[in-house]
Amino acid sequence: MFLESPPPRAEPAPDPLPLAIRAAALGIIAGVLLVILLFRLWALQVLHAGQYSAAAVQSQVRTSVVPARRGDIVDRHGNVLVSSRTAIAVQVNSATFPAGTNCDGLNRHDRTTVMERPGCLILWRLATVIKVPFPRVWKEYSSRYSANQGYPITLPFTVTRPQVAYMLERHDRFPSIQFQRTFVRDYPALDVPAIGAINPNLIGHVGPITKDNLNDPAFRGENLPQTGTAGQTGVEKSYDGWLRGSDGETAQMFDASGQPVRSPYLVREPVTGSTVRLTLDARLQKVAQDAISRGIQIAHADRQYYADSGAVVAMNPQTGAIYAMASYPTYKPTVWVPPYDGQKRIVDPNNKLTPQVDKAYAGAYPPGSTFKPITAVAAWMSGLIGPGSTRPCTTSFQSPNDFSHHKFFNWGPENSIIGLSKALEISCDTFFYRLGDQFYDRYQAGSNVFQEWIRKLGFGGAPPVDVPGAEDGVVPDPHWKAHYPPFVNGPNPSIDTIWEPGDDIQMAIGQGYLLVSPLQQAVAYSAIENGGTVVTPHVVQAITGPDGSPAPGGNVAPKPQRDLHLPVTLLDEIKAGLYGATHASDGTSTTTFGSFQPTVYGKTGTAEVPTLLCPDCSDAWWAGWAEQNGRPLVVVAMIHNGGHGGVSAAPVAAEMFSAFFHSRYQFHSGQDQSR
Amino acid sequence: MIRYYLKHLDYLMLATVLSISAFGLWIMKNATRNDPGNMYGHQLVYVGLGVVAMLLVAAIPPAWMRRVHWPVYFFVLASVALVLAAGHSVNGAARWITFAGFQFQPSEFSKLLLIVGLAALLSSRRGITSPARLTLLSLAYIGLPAILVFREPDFGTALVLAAMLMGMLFVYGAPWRHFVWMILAGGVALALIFSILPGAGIHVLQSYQVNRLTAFLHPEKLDPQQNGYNLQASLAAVSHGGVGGTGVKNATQTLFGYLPEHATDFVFAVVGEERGFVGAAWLIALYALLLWRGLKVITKSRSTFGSLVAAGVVSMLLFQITINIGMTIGLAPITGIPLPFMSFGGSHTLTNLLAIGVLQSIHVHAQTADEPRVVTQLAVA
Repeated sequence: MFLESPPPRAEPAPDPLPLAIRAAALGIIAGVLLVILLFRLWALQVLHAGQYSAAAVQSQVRTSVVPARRGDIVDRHGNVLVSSRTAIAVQVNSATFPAGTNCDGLNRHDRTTVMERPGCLILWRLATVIKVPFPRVWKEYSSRYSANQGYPITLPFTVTRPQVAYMLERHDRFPSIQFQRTFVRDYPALDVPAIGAINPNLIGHVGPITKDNLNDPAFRGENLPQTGTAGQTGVEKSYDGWLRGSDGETAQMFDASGQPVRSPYLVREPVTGSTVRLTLDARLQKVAQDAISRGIQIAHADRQYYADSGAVVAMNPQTGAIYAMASYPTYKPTVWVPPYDGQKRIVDPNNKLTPQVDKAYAGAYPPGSTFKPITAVAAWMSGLIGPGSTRPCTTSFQSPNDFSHHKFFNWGPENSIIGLSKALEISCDTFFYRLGDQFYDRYQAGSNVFQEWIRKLGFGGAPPVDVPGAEDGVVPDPHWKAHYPPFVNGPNPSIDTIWEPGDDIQMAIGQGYLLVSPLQQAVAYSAIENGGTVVTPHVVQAITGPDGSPAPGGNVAPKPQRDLHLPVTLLDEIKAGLYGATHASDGTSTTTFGSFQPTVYGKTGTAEVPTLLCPDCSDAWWAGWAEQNGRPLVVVAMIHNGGHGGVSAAPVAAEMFSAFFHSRYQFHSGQDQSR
Repeated sequence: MIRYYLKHLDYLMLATVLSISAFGLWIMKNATRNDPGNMYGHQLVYVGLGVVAMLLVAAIPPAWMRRVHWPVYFFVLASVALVLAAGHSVNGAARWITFAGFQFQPSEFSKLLLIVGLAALLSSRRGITSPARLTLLSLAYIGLPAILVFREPDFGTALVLAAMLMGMLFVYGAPWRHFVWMILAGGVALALIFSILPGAGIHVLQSYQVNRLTAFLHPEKLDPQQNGYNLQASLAAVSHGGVGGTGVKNATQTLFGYLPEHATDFVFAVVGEERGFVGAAWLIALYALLLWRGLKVITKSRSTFGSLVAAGVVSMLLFQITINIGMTIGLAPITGIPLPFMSFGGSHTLTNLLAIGVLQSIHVHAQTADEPRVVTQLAVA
């Protein structure tokens, strides 16, 4: 019945509203709706264009770092000591790496577990290829993951081209592994024998940024490389902000599935770091390094078999510019560069020679007789002695202040009344014992004037040298002794913590609890040489752009610490004494310097450092200076357990003077800007 | 005969539809260049077939359509029911049936068929059945297939059917109070579906549907990982276009797959991104032109049937255009309503082109004698 609808019929009853009006009403509704859409579009696309899309578009662009080339470190003549070479770093693209990967606690024995976790398996294969322990690869990846989620994570491993080729050929087995050009430190000077001795502690090394770095207020945080490395020691650390440069950036668009589209484009050019020009002279450094080795050989020949380490500082006494600063034993800075050959031995805590501790500025030793000129300055400036003052030089000395009546012996047989210069010349201990005893009188009168003058000359606190880790040394005083933990916690604290005459007496000849670093000694001798100016020792002369142009603010030569205004009469007296010590028949290093040109002024030191194994061991010291044609040079040499200073340390210093003044190579040709 | 046909075609409407379709193909070609499969080629075929079918349908006298409305109605019910029983599902909705190697979406075709059927029903009952009963009859007539479509679930098409019904009853002249009642009933139904029944533990809609439908109400809470992603991506794309558009190569949202469904439901976002405000406004203007031509047909038709069919087609197009663009720019809920002549898809492209064909047919045959003019004294505005 429905198959045929009723035939059309005439339709009565007109609309209550005309059809056209209804159609028009429908049209108005349509118009209103479309206009609403247009207004919304206007708001979205014209008024707030890009507002909704900015974040969305940004999320499609991922940036990656173009590492900046770290600045070079050159010596005063421009010899490149430290440079950078390109290397290939491994990256793991965390966007495509299996999410939720957790390889905690897995090591090389857990192969079956690793096989079950795709992410771990990739890292396992990577570790096998680059020959790094698997737990380390996982640690390096996971520690960087949270900060770099969704981005390529650069691991601190470099790979060789064959390794890269191996992995790229088997890309399906190494998904998410990619490679990036980066830079690692290079030491071109090591290949040149004449300048091939780089003090690795002084130069320092680059390593992963640590928490300590970030907590260090001196650590400049700007332009931190995203590769996560920064200078960790030495010049690399203290001048890190200059050397760092700033990383560039490339951007690349990724589609919704994480695949890159189009080629990456450069957003920011990387800026090469500034060049740091050292005051060091690479040739003199090489001489210093070799001289210590020879000094130790001499000590061994002198039956000082425990001689095992040493240091040399060569410095311009006028400016504090350090020309050479060497420490033995040393190592090659390449241990800090992939593949880190030999690093284990260097950082081994059981290594008693501690090559990582620089003996020249980070080690402290009793200075022995080389300290006597400092005692002389303190005594003169405190009014204990003056022009023409004499003291008996006897074979032994007993302090009237000392109720134990301890006898302090002179090192040699002598019995006469002498002045200051003669006392220095023959290094008479009893002369200085008497000065020490007088300082004890001052102590009893409530004055620590001895220690005050020692400190004024730069001891008892780290010299403000521009490398981290300089040693404070120890200038013992009553307060120090009263709080020294081994005494306080020792068996007899009430006795051991008392300041005794022997403490001042021992310190007067550079023994007792006194400890100084060779660098502090060089600063003090410089003050005596230059008339009382306590210089600021420094190893960096200037900072230039990578092309050698002066960098703004790059003149970093420091001002002297202070001027002590030492009287000429005192200086002449000391100078005469040090001249005698190197030239008189009874001088302690006359054999080495008696006929040396130019004239050398200096003092030997033989500081007793008895130990259980070596009750007769002494640190051998030599400290002094020479000058020719307005070119002064202070040299401090120290051979630990080297025996007599005149035997093993003086020849080391002689080599330095000889190289500096005699070599056909013009050591002074580099401008010393710190003047 | 053919000369008469050619003489009375609405060429402006034809040109508008062809323009929109060509624009849609152009957008489709650019937008799907990174997509698997040859969507552009398929759509080209659909449009080609649709245009031919449209021109053929335009030649069929409306009276013929009118006569077969009851068989057509049962065909609609049967096919929609068949989909429910043995449908092929895409994205969780069973809207397709496969026939002779092709997939059809009966709910799309049902829209046009029901327009014709309801128009025939209403025009034949004019003056016989009381207005109230006629309105109830219309509700039942559309309601039965609408419920089936809703069960597929195809909430969007059910809404289109409702909009169609309202538009046709409005043009037919149903009393105002009927609309008030229907709107009230609709409000109660929405309250039941979204609030009261879920509160009572009966879930008419799946939770994803509810989330999707209500996402536009709180855009600030859009969760990119979840249901808000589509809308956020769409807003980003439209906003990215700015005034003049990004062009094809810089349309990163579209090209790099950030804009989901960029060939189907969110094709307008592609227009917005690639062609900017200028292109989007141009497209809306074309739609306005098309709707205007449709409205002209309402008044031009000499029969109630013709006017009602035109009203249904115009309502259908208007609703689909408004809801689709509205959802793209965050003004309307996200329902799976395609944009006429723009979105990828055979069934709806054919349906919409056929609907234009029906409009053309009414336009062509408006002057013929076998279609009595309904209201002779109608004052033409």
